[in-house]
Formats: sequence, structure tokens, C-alpha cells
Amino acid sequence: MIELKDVKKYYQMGDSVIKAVDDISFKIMDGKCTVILGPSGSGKSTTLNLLGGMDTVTSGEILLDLEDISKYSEKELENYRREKIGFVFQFYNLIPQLTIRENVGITADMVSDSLDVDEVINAVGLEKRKNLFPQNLSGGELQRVAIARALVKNPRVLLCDEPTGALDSETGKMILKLLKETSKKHSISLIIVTHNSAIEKIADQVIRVKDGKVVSDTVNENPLEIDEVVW
Amino acid sequence: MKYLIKKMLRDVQQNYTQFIAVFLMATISVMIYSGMASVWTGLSSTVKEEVDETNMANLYVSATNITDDDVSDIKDLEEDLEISLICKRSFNTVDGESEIEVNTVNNFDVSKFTLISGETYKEDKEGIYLDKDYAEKHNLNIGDDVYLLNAWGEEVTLTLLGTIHSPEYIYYTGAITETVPNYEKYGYGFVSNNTFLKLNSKINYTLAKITTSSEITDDMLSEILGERFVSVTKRADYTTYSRVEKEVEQMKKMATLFSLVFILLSLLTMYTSMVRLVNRQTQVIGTLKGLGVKSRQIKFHYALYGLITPLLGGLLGLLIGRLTVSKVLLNVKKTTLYLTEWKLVFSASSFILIAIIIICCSMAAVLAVRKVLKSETTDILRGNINQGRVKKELKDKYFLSNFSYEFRLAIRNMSENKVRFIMGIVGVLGGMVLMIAGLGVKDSINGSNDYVFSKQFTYEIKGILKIPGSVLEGEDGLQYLYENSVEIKTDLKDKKTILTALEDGNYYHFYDNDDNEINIKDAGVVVSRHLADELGIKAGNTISIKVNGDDSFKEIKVNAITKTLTPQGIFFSKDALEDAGIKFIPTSFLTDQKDAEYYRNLDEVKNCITREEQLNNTKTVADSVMSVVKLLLLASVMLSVVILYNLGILNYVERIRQYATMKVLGFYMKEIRSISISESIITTLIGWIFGMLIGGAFLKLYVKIISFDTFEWIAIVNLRTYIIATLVVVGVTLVVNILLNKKIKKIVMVEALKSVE
Repeated sequence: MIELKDVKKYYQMGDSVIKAVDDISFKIMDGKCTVILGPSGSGKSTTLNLLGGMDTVTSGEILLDLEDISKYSEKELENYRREKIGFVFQFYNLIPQLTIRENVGITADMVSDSLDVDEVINAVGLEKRKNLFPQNLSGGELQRVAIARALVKNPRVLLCDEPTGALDSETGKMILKLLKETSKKHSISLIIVTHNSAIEKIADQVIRVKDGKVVSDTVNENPLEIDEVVW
Repeated sequence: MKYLIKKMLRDVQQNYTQFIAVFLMATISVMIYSGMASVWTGLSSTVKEEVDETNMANLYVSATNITDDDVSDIKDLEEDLEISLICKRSFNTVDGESEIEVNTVNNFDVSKFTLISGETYKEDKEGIYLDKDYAEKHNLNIGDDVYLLNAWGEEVTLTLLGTIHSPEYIYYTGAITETVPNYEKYGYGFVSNNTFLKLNSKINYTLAKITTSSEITDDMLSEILGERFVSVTKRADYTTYSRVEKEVEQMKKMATLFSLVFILLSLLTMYTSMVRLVNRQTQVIGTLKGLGVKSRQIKFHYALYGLITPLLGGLLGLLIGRLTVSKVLLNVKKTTLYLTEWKLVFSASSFILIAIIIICCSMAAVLAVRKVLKSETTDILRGNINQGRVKKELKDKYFLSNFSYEFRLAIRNMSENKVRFIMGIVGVLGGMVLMIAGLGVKDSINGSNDYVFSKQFTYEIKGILKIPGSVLEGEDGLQYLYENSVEIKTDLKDKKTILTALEDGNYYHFYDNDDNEINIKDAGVVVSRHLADELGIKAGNTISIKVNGDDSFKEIKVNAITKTLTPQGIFFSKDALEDAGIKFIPTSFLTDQKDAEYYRNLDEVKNCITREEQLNNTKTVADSVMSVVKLLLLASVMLSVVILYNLGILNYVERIRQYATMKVLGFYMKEIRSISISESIITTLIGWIFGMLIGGAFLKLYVKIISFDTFEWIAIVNLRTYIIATLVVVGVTLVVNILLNKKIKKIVMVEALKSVE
């Protein structure tokens, strides 16, 4: 179970205080797909960063399996990111000097119970491209590598920040499908942050945020298949 | 445009590390070069002024007993010819502690002295004009009495009429055995003819000083002076003057060669810094282009980056160089040279250097901008420029696949960022080369001195005979030498140098290039290596020589080349000299006895010097070189720090996104560190290896270039030098890595990744 309790994240900008996340609380279902939906500046990415241990809270608690990660030291956060979290960026952020297989492999080497590198690459459909460098791939392929890189660690939670934001609709759908299927297969909690409301239809849980606050938190009893979603 | 200026100022503020680095590199390069150039330009200019003001001779004619008739005949040779006759002799002071070379002249048309204090010279005034340094050293004031022993041993009291300076005594050591000025012991002075006659029974003019713009040959003078003619020396070869020229030349070579390396190093680093600085502004350039700012304006804007920083740095370098480097160097030169005025003159080459730095930086910026501007605005904004070649698919058996990901990453990073990689190597290499050369000069000078005074010479005392040809009666175990100046003629060039002939003995040793001893008795005639190289002489060659005092050249076969470092010249065994038809007239002697005072007190001995004193004198000269080298060394260390730190920072800035991503993915700091360090280790290792190799070669060249004509220094690098150079360069690299790792640790992941998106 992932739970955020009264989480605040304030930034000091000169004389004024920016309330990026302003007292939000919600629970995320294990092994399900959760979409955090909101417009630009709503605080959704900040929430994801806090969940991913990339940023620290101003106040409040973030619990993962009853452990409060907001109290973690720098070192503990490092271990947390390493062992529990998989991260997929909007702009992939692959290491350009490593091949596809190496990008995935270098992450697999970080944990003891990683998945098989080649199997994961095969699962994302890049078995024939694994010896290429990121520079040789299309946007969709790059995002598949990013997903493989995140999945190979067999993380507890998979965090995706606008994973389809830089892709066309068809490729976007393909990526979402891949994300959902693979996370389900490995019982990974999938959390997607997006401004694209079309995506909410595939989610098991939808949390809407605006101006740093949770506007709604709903459970989708009948999520649509990706192919059914109109972009 | 004013907004672009504002932007530039803010860019400077944001990228202050690189701008400061460029600023410092310009400052250090200009500081060292201009600081030294000011001294030699000032020195040359002062000497030139003194030469003009005193109407210094450009020909020195030695002869016995030059008469007024000779003067008339010589004057008839050319219309513009001026001539003064000089009679000089050294006299001891009554206390026996010092010796003054007293000059008297028939007129002061040529080579006047400069009066520093006291009354103007008048022929009828009784007294002496003494050189300022000697007078100061002995606390002598105008009107004080100077007590000298005349030629027949009587005390003569002379009033000090004035203190003077003569450009002919800029470098005056007093005795052939001394190599550095010693004002405590040796001075010079001028007296009237009448006063001179109190010191010496007669005035025998043996030197004619001539100024003329025309060519006067030996034959023309020989015809007038007949058998009395000895030799002619041109101003450029005149000991004191040539010494100044050589010192200027040496200083110039030392500074130029050394500066050349670190200026090149700085230019390369500044160039890449500017290019990389501009490349990080690709999006901004695209935006400016998209907004309609003219390409010309954009280029000018970035050209200003390369103009202002190096300009300010260069100007500060000029100022600091003048206040520090010049002052230090000036103080060093003041110990060996005497001038009435020490001037510092900015050399034109310093300004040219600043201009080169500015052009290099501005060009770098403009070329980088031009490359960006060639692309379509949309491509620039999307970052679709400078993609380079598309990488090929990697095969499974790719050789790197056996290495760790960190190593593979480091290797590919380097192959992808060749400029960054090469600059890293160049930074380490340059630091090593400069350090090895700087420290190696000290090793070389010390090693060369040790070689000369422990291996080459094994005597304890060298004495100069008062009367050439005389011998010390009842003294055993002496080895007599005959030393004279000689003119050597080869197909390549002519040169005046020293001839040394040796009696049998064990105090003077000769070695070949492989350090095998050459027996001079068997070899007969040998030439020192440095001179042989200069004149193109090889063992077995026949050369022409004319000994000072002889009227014709003799053909001599050179049997061997010796590694002898000093003196540079031609060496004969006594038998070989006499076989060549040159009389062996002992002028000095060598002994293994240690009591120098005993020999000094002998009537037949003019003066003597111990081997230890000779070594110390040589060390004084070496110290003057070393103080210059220390400056260069200091600059090298500073420069290495700036270059390596700057390159490190540039690498960090360009990879901040990669480091942030790795942090997010859960890499431990030590893993990220190992990637950054792997690269640094590879770069440092390659730079270090090449630095060691090139450093040694550069030192060889450097030592060869800065060696005096009379002393060939040999390039020696002690293990200690290699260790120190390595420790400094590796230490700096390590510190830079530690600082950068701290920065990596402090990367705010969210910020670093947000800025990209």
C-alpha cells in the first residue's frame, strides 16, 4: 500500500511561497494502474517526484508498505530509488553512450533480484534492436527502452511522468499498453502522471489534482482496454 | 543590442567558472610572458641608450704600444672614424683585500664613462673615478681617500673624485677565474695620465677603441701596426657586451619556449571553453534567430564573450607581470649586471599575445555560432544540430562487451566527445611537460655542475700566473696549462673561443659521449661537443685555427670530440700543441693542494681559485636561471590547476543531466563517481604517459636552448622530478575530481531534469 498523508511541498521564491503540493492525502492500490491527472502547474509531477524519492516533503508522510519514506536519509532514499522504484521519463533520458541492451543491463546490475535483461527487452519488442544506440531509435522505441530499463529492476512501484507526452497517439497507445501489461504481469504498482484525460479511462484509480490539491480520487471499476480509448 | 549586453553580463554571471578560467588563463599567460619581456626589452633599450650616450666602441684593437702616429694612420682609414687609446692595469688596494682595474686614456672620444656622482673629469685633476658599485660596497664617498699599491709596491693615495659607470663594465668579474661579479673584491676606475704615472712607470697604450660605420679589416690594421698588432674584437664579441646580449637572448629563449607551451595550452583550452560555452546556448541562439535578430548581431554578441574576458585578463596580466614577474627578474639580473638605470619597457610582443588570445577566443565563439546558425531555426530549437555521424549497430562480440558498464560508458563517452577527451589529455600532458621541464632544469644545472666539478676537474686549486711562461720553482705536483683565445675557422662558420693546452697530469679529464675517458696525451687535439656541433666539427676533421697573437691560420686535425661541458673550446696536449707549431707558454696551473692562501701569497701567482669557489660561482649563475624557472614553474602549476579544473567543470556541466538521471534510477554515488573517475583515470593516464615522454624531450630541447655558449648544460631528470610532477598533476586531477564529485552529489535531480524538459 502506498499512502500520502497531509503532504505539503512548498518552495520559497523570493518573498513568496509557491505551494506546489498543498496538503494532499490519498492511498494508491497495490499492483494496479493509477493515473494522477491534472493540468500544468497542478502539482502532479511534484507528487510523483516526492513518491519517487527525488524530492523531499515540506511536511506530511509518504508511506510505502507502512514505511515512511519522508523520514528517509539521503542514503536511504538512494536505496529506495534503487530497489523499489522504476522511473519512466517523458523524454526517456537514456544514456546515449550505452546500447539498448546496456542501458537495460546497467540498471539490472543494480539489484539482486532483477529480471532477465534479454527477456525484458524481448517483452518490449526490441530484441532485434538491442545492439543499437539510442540515437538510432524512434521516440516510441526509446520509450520502450525506458520502460524496459525501469521494469528490469522488478520494482515495487513504476512511476511514469507523462510517458506519452512526446509521442504520437498510436505510439502513445502502444506504450500505455506495454506499461499496463508488463506491470500487471510482474504485479508492479503503476503510477502515471499525465495531463491527457484520455488516459484516465484505462486506469484502475484516477486522482485529479489542481493547484496543488487533490480534487477527486476515484476508483474505475471498469477500465477500458487501451485500444478502446479515443485519444 | 543593450539587451544582448545585459544577457551577456548575466551569462557571465551564470557561467562564472568558465569565464573566470578563461580570464585566469589569459592573465597567467600574459603575466609571465610580458613580465619577462618587459625586462629584456628594458635591458636592451637601456644598453642601447648607454652605448649611444657613451659612444661605445664597435671595434677593440689590441696591440703593443700604440702611438699617436698609429692613431693618425688608423683615422685616415675612414672619414667618420673616432679612436681612443687605453692603457689599463690592475692594482691591489693597500689592505690587499681588493683589486682595481685602473684605466687611463688619451681622450674620451670613444667609450666615455657616465658620471654618477662627483665632479666632471678633468685631465689635470689628481684622483680617481671609481665604479659606483665598488665604491658603495666599500663605503667610499666623494673626497675619500683610496689607497693603492703601485707597480713597485709603494702606497699611493688617490682622492675619490667621482663614481662612474661604463657600459663596457656592465658585466665585470675582475679576474679570468671568476664567473660572477664580486664588487667586494674587484672594481674599476679611470684616472688621468698624470695620476696613472704615479701607479705605473709608463703609459703603454695596448688597446684602441674605435667607432666607425665602415668595415675595418684585420689586414688594414695589421698593415698599420705591423708586428705590434694582436687582435681585433667586434663589439658583439666584447666580453661584457656579448654577455649582456647572451643574457637577454637566454632570458628571451627561456621565456618564449616555456611560454609557448603554456600559451598554446591556454589557447587550446580557451578555444574549447568558448566553443562549449556557445554550444550550450544553442536553444538561445535558435530563439534569437527565430525572433529575427540578425545573424551578424548574434555573432557579434558571442564574439564579445571572447573579446572582453581575455582582454581584461590580458590587461591584468600585463599589470601583474610588471609588478611581480618583472620585479623578481630584475632583482636577479641586478646581481650579475650593472646598469645606471633599470627600465621596464612593455614589449610589442606582449600586446600581440593579447591580440592572439582575443582573436582565438572570439573566433572560437563566432565559428561555433556560425555552425549553429547554418541550421534551420526549428532544427536549432529542437536541438537537431551537431548530431554527428550516426552510430552503427554494435555486434555482440564487440570488444568492450567484456568490460564493466562503467568502463564501456567512459570509453564511449570519450570516443563521442573527442575534443573533451583530447583536451583532458592535453591538460594533463601540458602540466606534466611544464613541470618536468621546470624541475628538470634544476636537475640539469646541478647535474652539469656536479659533472664538471667532480668528474671533469679533480684539482683543488687553479692558479693564474702573473707572468705567462713562468713556473713555480720548487713546487711539485703541478699541472701547467696554456690558455689563450683562438679563432677557429670551419666550412660552417668562424668563431672566437678558448684554446687550452695541458701538460701531463691528472687534474683535467676528458670523456667521450659514452663517458669513456679520453687520454688527451694520446688524442692530441679534442674539441668540446657543444662547440663542435656549432661549428660542424667531427672527429677526424681538419680545421683552421689562429691563436691570439699569431698572424696566420694553422691547419689542425681534430682527433676526438669530448663531452666537456665547460669551458667550450679546443684542447691540446702539450706535445700536440708544439707539433702544431704553437709554443706552450704556461698561463695557469692546477694542483691537488688545498691551501689557496699559500698560493695566493706567492709572488708568481696573480690569483687563484678553489674548485669549490668555482662551483659556487657557477651555482650563482645557475641560481639566476633557477629564479626565472621558479616563476615559470609557479605559473605552470597555476595554469595546470585552472585548465584541469575548467575542463572538469565543463565536463560536469555537459553531463549534469546524465548524472541526474542516474541518481533517479537509483545509482549509488560511488557508482556515478566511478564512471566519472574512470574517464578521468583514462585521460590522466594517457596524458601522464605522453607527458613523461614529451617532458623529457622538451627538457632536452629547453636545456640546449638556454645553455650559454661557454657552458653546455646536459638534460638530466631525477626520479624525484618525475615523482613530484606526477604527484602535482595527479594531485590536481584528484582534487578536481573530489570537487566535482561533491558537485555531483549536490545535483538537485528535479531541477536538473526539469531544465532539460
